[in-house]
Parts: sequence; C-alpha cells; structure tokens
Amino acid sequence: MNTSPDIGVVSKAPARFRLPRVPFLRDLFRHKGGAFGLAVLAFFIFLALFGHWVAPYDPNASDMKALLSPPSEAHWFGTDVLGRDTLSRVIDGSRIAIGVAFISVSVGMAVGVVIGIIAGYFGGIVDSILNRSQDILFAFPTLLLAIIMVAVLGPGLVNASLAIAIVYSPRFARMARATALSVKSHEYFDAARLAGVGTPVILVRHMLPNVLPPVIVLAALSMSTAQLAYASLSFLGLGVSPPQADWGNMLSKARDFITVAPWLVICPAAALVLLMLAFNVLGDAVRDVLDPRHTGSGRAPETL
Amino acid sequence: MPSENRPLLEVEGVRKEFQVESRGEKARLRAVDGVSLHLAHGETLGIVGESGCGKSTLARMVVGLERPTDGRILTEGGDIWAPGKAGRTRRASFQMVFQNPSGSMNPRRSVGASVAEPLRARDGSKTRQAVAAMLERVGLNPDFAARRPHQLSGGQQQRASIARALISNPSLVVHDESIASLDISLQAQILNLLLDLQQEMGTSYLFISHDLAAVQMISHRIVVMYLGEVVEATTVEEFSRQPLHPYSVSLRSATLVADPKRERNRPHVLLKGDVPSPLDPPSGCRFHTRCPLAVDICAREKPQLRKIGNAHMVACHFPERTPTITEAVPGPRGTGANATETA
Repeated sequence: MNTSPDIGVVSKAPARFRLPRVPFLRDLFRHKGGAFGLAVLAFFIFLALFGHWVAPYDPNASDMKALLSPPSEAHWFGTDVLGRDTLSRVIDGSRIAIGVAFISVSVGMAVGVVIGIIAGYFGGIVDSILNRSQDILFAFPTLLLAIIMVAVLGPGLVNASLAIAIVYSPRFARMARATALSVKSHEYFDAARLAGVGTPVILVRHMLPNVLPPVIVLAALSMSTAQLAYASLSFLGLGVSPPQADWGNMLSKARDFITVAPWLVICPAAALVLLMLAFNVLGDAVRDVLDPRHTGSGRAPETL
Repeated sequence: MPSENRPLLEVEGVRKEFQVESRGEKARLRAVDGVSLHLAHGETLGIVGESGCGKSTLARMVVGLERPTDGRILTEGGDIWAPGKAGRTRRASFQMVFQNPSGSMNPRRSVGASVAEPLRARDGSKTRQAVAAMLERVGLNPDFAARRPHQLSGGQQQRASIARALISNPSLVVHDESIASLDISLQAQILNLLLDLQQEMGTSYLFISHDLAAVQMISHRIVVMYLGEVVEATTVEEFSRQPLHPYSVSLRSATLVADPKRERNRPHVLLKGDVPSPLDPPSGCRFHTRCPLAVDICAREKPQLRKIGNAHMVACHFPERTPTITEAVPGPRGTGANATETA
C-alpha cells in the first residue's frame, strides 16, 4: 500500500454489527415524553388484551340493584342507567379504541406510502393522476368524508376503521411523496442505479427507509386523531353496534344523564384524553429519536 | 464489433437537451452539444470547464445515468444503450464517484452495505471479505464497514465512495468533481490514492473538475469544455506548455503559481462577464462574447475543432494569436517535477 497511512486508520476497535432498532427503543425509553407515552400506551394495550380478566364485572351485565349508582367501593367508576359497571365498560372500550387506532392508521399509512413513493419516484403523468385524486380526498373535511364512507359501507368496527384509513391516506401520501422527491435527488440514489440494482429493490432498500421516519412520526401523531375520529363516528351511532362498550357511544348515551350522573361522561372522556395524550407525546418522542442527528434526550448538546 | 483494439470509451457527437421553462415559455437547454472524445484502457482523461458548461451532464451520460438526446457512447465498440443484456452489461462496467461525499451514501445503511452494493447486485458471494479488502486498499480501517456514513469524515467518506466505485472492478471510473469538496491536503491524498489504485488495477478515469492543477496532476490528456462544446483537446504536456484556445489560456492564468514573483510577472488573461445562457448560446464561436481576441468572423462563423500539431485539437479561428504562456503551473504527470507525485 502506498496510500497515506494516517487517514481513517484508528486503533483497533472490535467490529460490532448492531441492530439498528435496539438503540431506537432504548432512546425512546430515555426520552421523557417517550417513556410516558409508551407507559400509558402499554397500559391501554394491556387492558385491551387482558381486559376480560382484569375487569371487575362483565361489561354488559346489568346490576339492577345499582342503577346510575355514583362511584363506590363496589363500582369504582359508578354504573350507568342499565346498572352496567362503567369501569368494566371503559376497560372493554379500550380494546376498540386501540384496535381502531392501529388498524386505521396502519392501513392508511401503507396505502399512502405506496401511493406517495410511486408518485414521487415516477413523476410526470403518474404523479399528476395520483396527486389529484389524493387532493380530491383531501378537500373534504375529515369527519364528513368518514361519515359518508360509513354511510356507504355500513356501520361497524371494520368499516369505520376502513373509512378512517381512506380519509387519512392522503396526508401520508403527501408526506411520502415530498420525502421521496427529496430522496430521489440524492447521489446515493444514482449510486445505487449505477451499482446495477433494480428499481423495485432501490425503492424498498433506499427509498422506503428514508421515507418512513417522517411518515412514522405522522402516523404516531395521527393515531390520536384517528382514535378521536372513531369516537366521533361512534358518538353519532356509526361505530360498533350496541351492547359492545365503546367510549364514543358511552359518551353519547351518557349525554342524557350528564347532570345526574357526570361520572358516566367523565370516565370514558378521561380515558379518551389520556390515550390521545399518550399518542401525541409518543409521536413527538418518535420524531426526536428518529432524527439521525438527535442527541438522545431530545435536547441539543450543551455547548461551552 | 467489440474488440480489444477499440478504445475503452468512445463518445460520438453526443448531445443532451433538457426541456426547461423560462418565464412561462418552454425552451430547450442544450447542456451538451455535440461532444466527441475517446479514452484508452488505463488512461486518465481530464475534463475542465466552468460551472454549467456541461461537464456533469457529460459524466452522467457516460455512465448511463442520462440518455443522450443524440449521439452514441461506445465501450470497446459496443453501444452502452444497446437493447437488452448487452447494454446493461456495458453500463455496469462504468462506475462513478460523486461530488458530495456525505450525500453519496445512504445515511441509514452502514458504509459496508453501501460499498458492497455493486458486488451484491451482481452475485452476492463473499461480499464481507471483499468489502474489508477494498476498504483496506483505499486506506480505511475495515472496521469502518459497520459505521454509518455520518460517523466518517469527509475524506473517509470519499475514500469509501472510491471503494464502492472500484469494488466491482469497473473498466472506467468517472470522477465528477470528486475532490472539489475536500480541503487541499485531503485533495492531494485522494489524488495520490487514485494514482496508486490506477497503477494496481489498471482502471481508466474520466476526471471532471474545475480545478486545473488537480486535473493536470492526474490526467494523461485534457479536454476543455465551454458551453457544452469541446474547445480544446490535447495531452497534458502540451496543455501545460502552451494551450491554444484563448479560453484555456484564461483558465490557466486563473490558477495561481506557488511562487509570488513568477505569479506577478506572468501574463494574465482575465475574462469579463458570466458564461452566456445555454438557452440562447451566442452565434458563431460561443466564446466570442468574452474572448479578448474576438473579431467579426468569430461572431459569424463557428470554428471547427481542428488538428494543430501533434495530438492537439482546438476550435478557434486564430489559435496562432493566442498569447503565449511562458510560465508553467504544476508539472505534467510523469515528469516527477512536483512534490505531490512522490508523497
């Protein structure tokens, strides 16, 4: 070798191949908001998965001796007009809330990212067609479009999730397209083409990982509004069908008794707000952590 | 037909036009306008010119990232845009090192994965050892393979880019301003590395730069471009002795000589104004708007690229009037006159 020996030669360090995802989770835990968001979310996911064992009562069983009873030792969150335990119903409702948030956002994200990447990468007429069609969807107010969709598809958990996914896909498509456009102009894209890598592989290997971070942040932030959108649909009677407990329809029923039994409104609303807060804070934390130049705690390093 | 006797690279009358919109009107921008050149095995051809003269577009066409609007690019006599597998194989034998070292590697993949990519796209066997060997060859610690590009310095990133370009054993590596963003001591190191690698591997280089000293150090022959056209082509010895196109002379006098006394005394040709817009190139000789020697005929008639002397081509009506250069900037390659050569 006749190259200068001083550049790039460091003392022997052991070669370590680390999984890229592990530092991500570690950093998320180290981030204050991230730890809070993850904890609350984990709590709700636990309730969603094991609610049947945790809940003190059957959420749909009536206790005729305790109609509209205020919070007590037997019924922590009180009971509703049919004597059903509010705590058990809130726990049971978390299953729906978590499920809808994840299903609608992941479906919307998948559809949006595929559309956005294709539009951004191929450009031209493909871009115009995809972009305009997304603009049409975007022009409708979110909830109105979701209501129209549910009205067409029929009420129910899956249909409502699907409607929210369709309504949410344009925002993912936009973000994915914008990122794809900037990624496309990078030299490593040309380098990959020169290396002889095929277009689908380039899109998956070089485009997707660089498009995903901002999209994931958007997804985390969208979960809260998606969940709220579903609660609104369900409030309007377009969600799951009755006896199944659901925060939206619980609020809708509780509206009639708001003066005599405020706990019926407060409990599901508190659960809704807490979950939304967790999603929002977690979204912010994910954004901080996914920035390749982040400092771990979400703060800039102190300078002297 | 492809044969060993044909030059490695032949560019024949290549033209590239872009559709652009200027003030609401559609216009055609001729980035490269009828460029022809050739390059032999193991040779380095330097291309110099101001920003916007079409150097980079030419580079991208040579490696097959852009398709020429007109003209052909041949390797060993075979068109790189031949349909099917033949064209693909030919394009795969060319690699490129980009200008921006930090942008030329995917920030989310390890350096090793980026370097291995050309190899993996071909067969995929034993890439790990090959990457380690190649990194060592360009003067990097093989352990760097596990790092991310942003954990490397600019010089290290550029070394890694060179490793990626060379790992699939290409016959030609195009350097598009590959040292422009490095500081001067790193530039010298990278140039020496390129010379060493060329000796070891016999790779040809197409070295594009606006840095005349660097081009003169590394190249065997030099092509000067102005507004998408070749204005002069000659060997590096001829070029450092006496360039014949007024534009080349002005480029030469823009490079500083290390000795201030000589620097002050040597003739200077200063250019006025900017490069004219390639949307609306000047009539006749494209350089006549800025040429200190321009006369009427220059605005009317376009000078052809013609041969003057041995292996010296110039596109000028009056090459004999070009001011002589008595001082020589860094010596041509192979003379051993400059210190960097022996470093």
